[in-house]
Amino acid sequence: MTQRTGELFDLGYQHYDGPREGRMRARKAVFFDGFRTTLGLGRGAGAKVLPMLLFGAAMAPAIIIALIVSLTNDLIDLPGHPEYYQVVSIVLLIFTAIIAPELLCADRRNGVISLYLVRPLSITDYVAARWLAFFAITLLLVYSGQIVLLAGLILSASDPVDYIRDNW
Amino acid sequence: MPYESVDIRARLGYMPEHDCLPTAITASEFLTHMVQVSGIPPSQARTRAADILRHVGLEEERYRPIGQYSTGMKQRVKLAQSLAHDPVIVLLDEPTAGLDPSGREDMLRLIRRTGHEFGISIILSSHLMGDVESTCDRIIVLEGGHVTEQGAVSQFTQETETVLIDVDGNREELITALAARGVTAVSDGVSLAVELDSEEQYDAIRDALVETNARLRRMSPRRHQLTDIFRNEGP
Repeated sequence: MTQRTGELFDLGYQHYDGPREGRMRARKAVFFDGFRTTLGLGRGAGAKVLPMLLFGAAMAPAIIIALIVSLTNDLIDLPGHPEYYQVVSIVLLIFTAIIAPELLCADRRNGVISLYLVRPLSITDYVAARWLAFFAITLLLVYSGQIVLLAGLILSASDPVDYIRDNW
Repeated sequence: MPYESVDIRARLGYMPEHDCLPTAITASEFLTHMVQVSGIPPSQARTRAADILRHVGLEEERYRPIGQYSTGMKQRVKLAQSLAHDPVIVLLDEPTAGLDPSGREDMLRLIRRTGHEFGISIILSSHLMGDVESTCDRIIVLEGGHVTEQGAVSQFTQETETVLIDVDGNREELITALAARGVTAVSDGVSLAVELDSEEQYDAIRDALVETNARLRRMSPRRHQLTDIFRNEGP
């Protein structure tokens, strides 16, 4: 005979008595959701491919420039931060052209927007939160390439401290 | 009032008739997000989402992308998102749209339970009078933006003085036998409808049935149906 080790209870519906943070929580939720949507987090592997590719495309020039500089030992006048922007701006353009509409249009296409608008959130809050998510992602993309490049240039300089001082 | 609308919406649930679900994310992920948009902190939101999805009958399926769901499962997710933040009042717009008969019955049972056991007020908008009759306590009829009728559902479905008789065969003979006893029976679809003036007419019907040897399937008072409202025959 098997021993009964546990019991199942039908708890039914539970009322919620915890904190309600209203509009501010709603804004944050829409912001973080925008962030996650863009990067494909919480979605299938397919949704992560495009952001990763574009992120890689934005990083590659920074890594290549840093590598060339370190290998050639500063012998020739090599591309730096301004040149990086020239190369990477096209990637940024494509990235923003893809993610900006995806942040706003998908909700209208699916009809999810009608669920947002019955929650403690105004239409301005919604657009602002989505825009901030877009802005944060773009900023991350622009600066992460620059930081990688800067790190590469500092490490490959003959005197890193001098390099920082000269290029501050 | 406009300044308070944000606070009101924090305690309001809404299930639209049209599609309103993303396809790429899982029901669990979507519900957790929607609960947060209703103002509930992330630490509590995941528990609420899991609880409510179990309550509407989505167990393991909740970890699959919504795009792979059947219409019935999508309707359940839609209902779940309207209840997940524990609203005071919920508006359901045609909740049984696109469901097969058993799915429809499940959905109505869930709605009844939500309204009666959990103390959440539900406003159900529907064109399916059967749904309204089996689910609602009160009814409000709107026409062109104006309230034309309102009251308890039972008030709209009162018994009438008409008796409906269903028989297997010998139908015409029964009509003749009833007529011979002074009872007028008119054909009403598959049934015979008899307007009763007095209790004695029940005896006349019984005798007519025995005489014609018609096999009786059903004999019941006719009730007003909610659809009568649309035919302007309401009480």
